[in-house]
Amino acid sequence: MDPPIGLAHSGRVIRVLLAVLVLLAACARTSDGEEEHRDGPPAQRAFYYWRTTLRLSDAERRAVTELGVARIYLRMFDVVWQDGAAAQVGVVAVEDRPPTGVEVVPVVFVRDEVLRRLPRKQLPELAQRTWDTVAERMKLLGGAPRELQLDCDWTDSTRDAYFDLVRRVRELARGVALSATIRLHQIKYRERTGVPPVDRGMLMFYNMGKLVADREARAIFDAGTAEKYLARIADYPLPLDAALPIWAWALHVRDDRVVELLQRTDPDDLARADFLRPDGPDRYVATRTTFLDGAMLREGDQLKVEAMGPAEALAAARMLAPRLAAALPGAPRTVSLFDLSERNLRRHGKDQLDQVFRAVR
Amino acid sequence: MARISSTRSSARFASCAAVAALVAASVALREPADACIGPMYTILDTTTFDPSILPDVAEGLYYDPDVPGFGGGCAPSCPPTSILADWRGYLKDTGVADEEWSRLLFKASANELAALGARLDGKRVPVPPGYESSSLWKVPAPQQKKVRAALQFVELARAVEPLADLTGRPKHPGTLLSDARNALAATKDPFLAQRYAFQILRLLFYQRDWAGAVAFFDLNAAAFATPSTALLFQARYYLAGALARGKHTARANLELARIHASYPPLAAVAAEEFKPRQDADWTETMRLARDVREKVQLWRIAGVAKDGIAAMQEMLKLDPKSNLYALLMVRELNRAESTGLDLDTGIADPKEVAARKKSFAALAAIAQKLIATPGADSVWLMQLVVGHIAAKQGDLGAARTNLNAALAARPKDPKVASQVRASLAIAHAHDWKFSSEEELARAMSSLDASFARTGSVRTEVRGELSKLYAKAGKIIDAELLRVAEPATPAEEAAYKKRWADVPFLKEMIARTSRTSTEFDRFLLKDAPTRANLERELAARYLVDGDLASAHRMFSTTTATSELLHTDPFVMHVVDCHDCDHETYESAKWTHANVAARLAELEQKARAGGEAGAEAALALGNALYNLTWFGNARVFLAETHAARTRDTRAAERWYKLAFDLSKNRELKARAAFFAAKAELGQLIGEQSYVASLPVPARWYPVVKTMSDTRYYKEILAECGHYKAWAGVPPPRPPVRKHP
Repeated sequence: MDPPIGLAHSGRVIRVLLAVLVLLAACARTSDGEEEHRDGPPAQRAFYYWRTTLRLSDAERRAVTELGVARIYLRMFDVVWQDGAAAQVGVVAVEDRPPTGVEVVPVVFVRDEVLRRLPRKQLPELAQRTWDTVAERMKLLGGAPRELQLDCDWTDSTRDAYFDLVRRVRELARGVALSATIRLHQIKYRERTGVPPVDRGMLMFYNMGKLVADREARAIFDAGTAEKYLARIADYPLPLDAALPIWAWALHVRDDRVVELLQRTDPDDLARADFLRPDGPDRYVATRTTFLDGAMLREGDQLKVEAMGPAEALAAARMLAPRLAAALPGAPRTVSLFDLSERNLRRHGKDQLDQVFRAVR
Repeated sequence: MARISSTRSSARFASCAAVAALVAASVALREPADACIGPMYTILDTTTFDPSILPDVAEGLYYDPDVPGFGGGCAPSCPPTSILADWRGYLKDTGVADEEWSRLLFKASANELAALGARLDGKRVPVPPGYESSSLWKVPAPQQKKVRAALQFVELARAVEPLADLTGRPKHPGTLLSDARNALAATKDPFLAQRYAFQILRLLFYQRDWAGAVAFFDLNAAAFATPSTALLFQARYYLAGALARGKHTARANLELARIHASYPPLAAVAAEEFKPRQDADWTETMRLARDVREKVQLWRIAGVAKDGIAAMQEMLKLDPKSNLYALLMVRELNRAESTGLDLDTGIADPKEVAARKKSFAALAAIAQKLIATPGADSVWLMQLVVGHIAAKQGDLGAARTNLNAALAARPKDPKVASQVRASLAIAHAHDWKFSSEEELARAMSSLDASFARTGSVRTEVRGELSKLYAKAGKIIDAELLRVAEPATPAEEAAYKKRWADVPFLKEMIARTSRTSTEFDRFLLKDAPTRANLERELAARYLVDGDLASAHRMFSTTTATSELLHTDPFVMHVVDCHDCDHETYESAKWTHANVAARLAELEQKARAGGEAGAEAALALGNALYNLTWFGNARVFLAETHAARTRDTRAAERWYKLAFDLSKNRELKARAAFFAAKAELGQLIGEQSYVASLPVPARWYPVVKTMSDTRYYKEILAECGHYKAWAGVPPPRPPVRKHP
């Protein structure tokens, strides 16, 4: 039964007041003057591992251990639409295991297109194949998962198919907690996009803008854009974990248009490349036609670098922290950094990543 | 124009409580259907330059953004074909039948091969079933040794096949590798030597012995080189794979470039596999190239795989006389043409348009350089490209000069002639003078049947002219030339108004009679036909309530009339479009006889009395059913009145029926149907209504019929009415003053 209008209104006021009180109680100042949240148990620390071969370098292994990382969210495979059918591509090759005690959470990325095109009657088969491959891969890692995460940028037009898939996977993965990645637009427009039938959501606090050539535009993390989505995090009807960005990429730009996204490009390498000259902050111009990370650069093409450095990552964490704390005060959650790689570790450093982890509870 | 298929797609349309949900459902239903049909436009729609003008281009190498990779060429089918051709040549004097050898090569089991071999060796083993009268037994004595050796090779190759798998762990080859090496060492026959070498290479490859495979190829280069070119390049393809997997990116890419340049059947897959990663490996690849030609080949494959303009610019620095420009030029021209197009709205992103112009300029500059280079290859193609680009940019003079030069260089090539005409028509359209009507029409009418871009050229030319004619006030011609929906809301409003105007439709019909000039015929060729325009006018009369004129159109002109596969005079409490189409699939009703019946009913209704009331009710039913809400929407499909939601005419006839009749059962029907028509107007053009509105004019009237049998039917079937009738409307909330 819905409460009468007056009570509903006062209930909302009470909830807002409670949230404010929680915020006030949970905030403290750090040595650099920033507010830090100290309410509740420390968040469980995690990394996303997004390469197609699981093989940790010494530096990656060391970072996992020294930062007290408890979980690795491991991309298992992508489900894509290929030759008129759903197909698994890039199934992870397991050549290594994470350090002892680190839990592996398998993640399956499902392209929205698959849900648009796949006849609904084929969803059970897709769910079965998805679970079978996850279970088979997880055997190589020592056993069944405790949690399985589905990653999909579903929209209002694909929500029914996606939620159906989620339910079917849940039926197959008995006893396994199910989580789903939640993008910011899915938080803000939840009435349209719906809330997936999972146990937890992993809020992706990144990918905030379009890939555009403009100098100022930021696609990975933009505080101004983030601000517009924050208001609705606290009352999202799922327990939320958080994924924060620590990566960098470069946009290949020609004639003011983005030609290609270079996801694996290390900004540090660009400064050393003899075929590039700097063109203002975070910009390079190709001085001859050649190749960079598989992209063919024409003489005159530009590279726009967008890198999450320690300061940006910490800013993102501090921006998100109070909203998460207000959602379910004191509830345990996981904070996962995207993604684990030597170059990201190098750019951030252990102490800075430790600060990012500390910022969110 | 509305499509018939979409009008029949939604499952069930109800005028009662279910309407709201179903309006949404019908919208949702269409989405997956559209999503499943693949891209709305293909490369055939987005480009006007026919790439097949180039002779001998390997399959899969034309530019097509909708095809992943490069189409694959004949990779899956060409090895068996080339292998068979090789063997046919080798065994031609032995008397072994081609079909039989094909069976031995590809189908015979290991046991069968072993038994056949033993038999040829003179051993007393049973002949495998099916080989009793084999041509193997008739091989002349001098050739028997050759056939036996060939069969031994096939036995080995068959044993290798199960090991050719990269998906799991490598399977142990047992003694196969040493057997093959021994056979290679023993044979003096170059044909068999090449084949044994190939099998050894495959074995090493599938054992993941990348270094071993590369070393073996290098050491046995002479054995690989002859006699079969096909086998040589297939071996090179394995070599490239081993190099790439062994992280020798630079040399792997060089091998792929060699395959791409010299062996068309694998050219497309080689381009797909070609993956330079970094400046260092690319520089190394260039360094490994034997000569300038190989360097040019490297840029060409880079151009196919990545960026043809940049590649051609680099090729120009190396060798402007190379014969490797043509494919890249055509690919990049098609790429540029299809950049930044929005064929639905005609409105493109300005950045995309600027990029297209820049690409055109770059391509024209490259082509001009080649034209100016004495001894350059395919100068005619470059002239054609320059002419085509000039045409797209509206420079008729430059287009004509270059296109004529291309035509002069290739006077007997029908594809060139068609492209020249097509490009010239495009140039006229973009640099328009009304005095050019005849020349443009002649160019369009003389496109050869083999020209693969007739459709897109027609769309571009007609679309451009349609805008120009509208601007010049020649609205009738502009509409006949129209290829796209109106681009802006203002244009759409004017367009709808125009097509709802009877004098305009009459003028359109009259214009179809003028066919004396070439331009008249061009104008009418892809325009709505006279019969369709006459049906359009008939539909307009009908929607406007002029039923007699509608009937006259169908009975005195060629207006298109077809079976409707439904009964527009049937009406239910709850509408069901698809049920009625199923039930009345073989009904006699056509456009023409429905119009005739409506005219007849109108006369009866005007006469009044109970018969008039019955006729008015039938008229209401039919006119309701012709709207988007009814079961006979198909009547107006293919006309500009399609999917109309205007139910006012139906309501008027229902009111007349209600007023005329003294029969309370008929009155109850008329009142309830009038309420449905009223509800249709309340819903109007909304695609989604959260809560169904109440027909305030007619529901109260329906309520006064509560003593009728039909009223009980209404209560039984129509939840919306029942809810309204049973529960008083909610009172507005009481607002307290502050």
